[in-house]
Amino acid sequence: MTDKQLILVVDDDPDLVEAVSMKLESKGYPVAKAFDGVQAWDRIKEERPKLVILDVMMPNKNGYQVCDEIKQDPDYKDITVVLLTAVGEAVTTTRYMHRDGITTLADDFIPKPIDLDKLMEIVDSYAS
Amino acid sequence: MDRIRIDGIKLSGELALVRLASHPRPQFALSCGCGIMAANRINMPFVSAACVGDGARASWCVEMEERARAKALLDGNPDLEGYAEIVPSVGLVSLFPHRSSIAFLGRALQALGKAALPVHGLTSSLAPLTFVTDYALLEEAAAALEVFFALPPHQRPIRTHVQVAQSPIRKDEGPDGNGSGPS
Repeated sequence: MTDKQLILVVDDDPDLVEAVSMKLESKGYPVAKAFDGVQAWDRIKEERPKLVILDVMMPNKNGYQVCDEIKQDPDYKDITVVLLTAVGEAVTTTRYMHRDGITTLADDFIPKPIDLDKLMEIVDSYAS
Repeated sequence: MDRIRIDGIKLSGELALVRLASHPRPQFALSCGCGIMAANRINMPFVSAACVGDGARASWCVEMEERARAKALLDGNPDLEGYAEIVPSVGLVSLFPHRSSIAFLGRALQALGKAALPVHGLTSSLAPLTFVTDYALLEEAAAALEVFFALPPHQRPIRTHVQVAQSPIRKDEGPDGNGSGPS
């Protein structure tokens, strides 16, 4: 039985979700999966993960919106959010500006294409 | 009959299928064609290489608005001129995870065949099994697959609405445009 905490992986690319999940599971983490923002919230409410690896560009509800909702909800704001960002954004901060001017504060971020070893370092620092 | 439980079905936007099926040197054609697409930063959201007899026969998809440019570039190459065939207005329907199951593939082909839906190509990757069909029939394809595959409760097929494009080639990048543009 593992003492590691549940990680939710959210991306609309099933290959990426599978690859990240396999890596996490190989390190003993239990994993839940979601493929858009709406599903992500369903999983968060059902399974209450310790950490969410969250893609930004997704159908139905994007990662910024999901991150905002997590961080503004007193019941869920302690969940760690790691945003997956596209290379072109060249992000160096966890505070992001939406097109509509709203800012989002995630706990951490990792650029795509994902360095799985770097991702594991981030996950271990928050959830092991 | 029990339906196979899956995590999701994903539908693409409108694409064009590129084939180099009748080239006498299929492996060369595949490598040359992919090289031309990469050098000109034309995204290929689907690539399939089928081993038939003497080598790999390639097909791939490009965004609909890139189909004329792709055709012109392929026809402009002396080794590929006249071999590129474009099938406009196709779409991808992906179901996942396939778990490397032949039964999964068989059931999916049965579903699409029973609904008399065209399959222009198919491929598998780590999680999804993906079929190319007519764009206008994507919803019908998803419905046909749902007869044989069970999505999680309250879940509908996901439709891609994010289109990824690469930035134009800069002059300082050299003639092959080799660089890592934003994705």
